[in-house]
Amino acid sequence: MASRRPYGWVSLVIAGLVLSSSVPAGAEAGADDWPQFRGTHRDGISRETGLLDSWPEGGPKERWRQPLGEGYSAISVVDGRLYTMFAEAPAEESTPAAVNAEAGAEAPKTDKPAPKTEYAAAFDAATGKELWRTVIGERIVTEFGNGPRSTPTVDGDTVYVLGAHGELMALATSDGAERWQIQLTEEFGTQRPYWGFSTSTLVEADLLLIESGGPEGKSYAGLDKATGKVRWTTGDAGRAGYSSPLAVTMAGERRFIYVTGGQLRAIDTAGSEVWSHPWPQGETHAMPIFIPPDKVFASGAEGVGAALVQIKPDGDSLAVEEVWSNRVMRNHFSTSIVHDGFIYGFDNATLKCISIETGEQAWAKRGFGKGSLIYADGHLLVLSDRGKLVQIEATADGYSEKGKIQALEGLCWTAPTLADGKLYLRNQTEMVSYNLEG
Amino acid sequence: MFRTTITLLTLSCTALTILTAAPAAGSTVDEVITKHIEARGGAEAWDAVQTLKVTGSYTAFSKIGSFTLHRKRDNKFHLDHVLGDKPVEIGFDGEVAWWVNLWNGIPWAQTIPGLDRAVLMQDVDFESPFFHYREKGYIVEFQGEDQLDGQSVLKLLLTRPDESIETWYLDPESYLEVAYDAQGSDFGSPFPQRAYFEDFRQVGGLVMPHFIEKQWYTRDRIMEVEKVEINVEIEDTIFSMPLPGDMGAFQVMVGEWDVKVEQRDSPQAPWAESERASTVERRMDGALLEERFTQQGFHALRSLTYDRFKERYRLSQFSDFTGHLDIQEGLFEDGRLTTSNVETGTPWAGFGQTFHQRLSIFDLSENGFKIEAERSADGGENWFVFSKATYSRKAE
Repeated sequence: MASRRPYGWVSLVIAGLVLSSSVPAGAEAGADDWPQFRGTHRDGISRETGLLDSWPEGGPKERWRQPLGEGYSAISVVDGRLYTMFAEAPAEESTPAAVNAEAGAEAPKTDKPAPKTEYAAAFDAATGKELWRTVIGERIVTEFGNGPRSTPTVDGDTVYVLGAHGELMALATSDGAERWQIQLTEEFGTQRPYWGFSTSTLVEADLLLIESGGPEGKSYAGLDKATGKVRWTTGDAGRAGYSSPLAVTMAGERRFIYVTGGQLRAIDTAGSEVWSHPWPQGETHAMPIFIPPDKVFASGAEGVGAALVQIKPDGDSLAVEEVWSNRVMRNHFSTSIVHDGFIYGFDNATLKCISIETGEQAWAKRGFGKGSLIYADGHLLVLSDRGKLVQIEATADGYSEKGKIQALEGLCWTAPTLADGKLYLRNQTEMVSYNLEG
Repeated sequence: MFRTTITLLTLSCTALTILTAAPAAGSTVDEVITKHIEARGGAEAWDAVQTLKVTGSYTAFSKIGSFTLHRKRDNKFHLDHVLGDKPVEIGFDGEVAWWVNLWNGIPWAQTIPGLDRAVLMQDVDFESPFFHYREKGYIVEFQGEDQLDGQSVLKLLLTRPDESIETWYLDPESYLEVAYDAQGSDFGSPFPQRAYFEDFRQVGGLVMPHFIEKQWYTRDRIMEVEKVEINVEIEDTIFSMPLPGDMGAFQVMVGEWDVKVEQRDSPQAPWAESERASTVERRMDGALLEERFTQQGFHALRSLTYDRFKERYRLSQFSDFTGHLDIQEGLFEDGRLTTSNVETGTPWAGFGQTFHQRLSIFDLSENGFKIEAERSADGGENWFVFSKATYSRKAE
């Protein structure tokens, strides 16, 4: 437990001005958009209603299905456009062999496939047709899947993207034109995480917040979102992790919560640490979850387990107290969601429902592998790691399935996206949309 | 051999008879196990089975691959499966546990080390571990009823001969396995592991789980059975660790031998006969063969291995007559291994000369083999046979 910064908590309480939410201050997206990783509030929850309560035989109507290159980047949706990232071989006309052929030179004899590139791209939400693509960088290749991991963040007419090798770029939503870019490894001396840069950027007012992962006070950075200029850096949390920051309003103040480098910590808009709490190093890739007004849930794999902490005033400072901790909910890379006093998420490969109050398990259900989930209109929408999409009643009373379809084939580690009644899913080869409107 | 092939298609309509019984709170361990064995098809049905071939899908790292599992009494085990995108072969012949595991970056068979071997032993029981558990040296303790993920279960503690402990959970109605907790391993690091059993189906009188899921650390492995074949012909060789090159062909050399030796000092000299004994032993599960013998009062040590990088056999020999380690390399062709030290550069020097040597091993059989030694005093231009050894297996 640590309290690092004086804080006028008591006076705020007395004034009755305690505001607690995770609504991003600078969000301009429409109410039914999904503008960033895990949605408008980064909580995996859609506020839409009027969706299908139970699915007809054969499942919800498939709207379209389009090929998509490799990657784990989730799909962001704003104003009828989808944004995501993927890797594939460059178009024929730009391959070295094609360039040589055009120049009259003999194509080099090689068994190697054409090198693949990571792209950010926009698609028409109505048809899935590609509108533009912009090269981000070289494709990352790993034992457990290739291509970009980070999810685009859309803010007004700009989309912010991060390549697996650390290319941070601001692109125009209209045509993908580059507004600015920096390379994290050069700007901050960051060492690329083994599985590639995976964090998703966060927009807050005129700032773009990232886990920069650099040494010597450069763990976190606040950038001018218009120019990419570094406003501040802070923290010595070590190598960049795979989690993404969460923006919340606690006691009327904007806070950005990170779980990385052996700490669960909150910083303010100036980059100063507000509070921190020891957290096991490594193995925590899921995002922290804010439980208003003053609690934060975090979970990591196997030996880490889960904990609920409460941030309380302690004189002029803040104290972080552990409410409970256990190994009932051990998130790996899929983040849980909170609904009606319970946390729903994956304990490794078992979907569980646990009580926020006690951490005790209400129910458990296997069969989704290392799946992912979001919440919408009274239901969990769970995508299994093998492409089975299941609608489950979001209740602690027990597991209750309301619909099931095989939506995708092959490995699926990317969480669903829901915007304007339409569900968007992807895997390493394609993207599909379903109409969930009732 | 009686052969039964049953596919999922034909099984899909098979109604599995679920044994029902009163709750087992006051039962003894043997009462619980008796009901469990009945639920699994009964001891008589299982005892009639000598081999099993099971095929289906195997999911690891969220990727679906295939698997083929061969089992043979007693506890011989061979699993060929795709783990993620890498094929992995695991075998156990009753003694040696081995794998060809590309996740270790090694494309050839290796003995499975400590913890991973112990974890494999959880899988090698031909039937459920509770069958004939006393004969197998297992200790089982019934710990009454418990809860597992909201389900009532009967809890059994199983201790294996290596003192590893597993906690098994049986369904109190059907007496079939629900799950077990045991030590797991992730690249050799210990982690708690839980295995789940579901979708029990009847196959030729046996009741077997068709969905087995194991979770440990951040891992999730799912084995889904599509086809079970009972009492199919399975060669024992599939369970034995593949040896490098054709080292398997030289395993017949292992044993105690009577050796007739003929020697001469020059091509013109008459052969002198003598006899000695020799012992050849397997080392490193047969990847290295070591011969020890004494001749004319001098002790000699000889080893044979295969260099998979140079794709050549390597023979080394040392005696306290020469005090010199000779290293030879060569090929095994047409049933004859011929090695020499011309290229390895380990000739022996004595009597004012440098002697290269060439050795041949041939006529390999269960009952004997021959070794001829040649010598060259001109750097390998000309050779003459100076020693012939004929090995005959000692009578038991």
